[in-house]
Amino acid sequence: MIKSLPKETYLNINSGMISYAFHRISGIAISVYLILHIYTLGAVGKGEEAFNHSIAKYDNLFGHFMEYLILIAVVYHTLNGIRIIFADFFNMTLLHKRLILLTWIAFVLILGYSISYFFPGLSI
Amino acid sequence: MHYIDIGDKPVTFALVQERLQSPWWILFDSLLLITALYHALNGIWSIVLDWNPGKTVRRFLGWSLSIVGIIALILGLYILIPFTI
Repeated sequence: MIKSLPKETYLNINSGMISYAFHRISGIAISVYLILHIYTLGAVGKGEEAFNHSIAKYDNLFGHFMEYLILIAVVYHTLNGIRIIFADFFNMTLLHKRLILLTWIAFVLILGYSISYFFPGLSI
Repeated sequence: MHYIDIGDKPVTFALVQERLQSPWWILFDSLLLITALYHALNGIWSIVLDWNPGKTVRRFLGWSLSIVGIIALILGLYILIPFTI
């Protein structure tokens, strides 16, 4: 029962559309994380031990992996947002494709560098 | 990062309390909370507008997002208080 997508979603795809899609997806993910963050830190109302315990719940492999996903979402959203600010406010609309390439390169570099902080075996 | 701090110290109550003794960090955390909540909920509102709902649904979702924002703001600022003592 899948409604077929309109033609403009899969014809003439360009890099701007893909950046926009990832920007929106990462934005939703960060919003969900924000609610979870406030909920986790709310344990401070029950005292210091409850607070330490509720943070220590995330100190396993799965928690570190989820944190890495948060890093991916935040880094991509930030870099794309900076690209949009540059294109809008500094009159760089002619450099659009180059700016998008720059953001993807910076994104991959930052991800590769930061993986060693989360999984203390890997390092690139 | 949830557990590993910059100086390889685990994130505990004491670590956060030490940082939040300075009023500049309190101001920074409060401003970050307000900005992040506003940006996130405004983004969700923009997604709702892309679906182009009718008048009633739009008003309902708009008000619910605003109320979620106000509640989260009050909760967040209330959570900051035990660290500043």
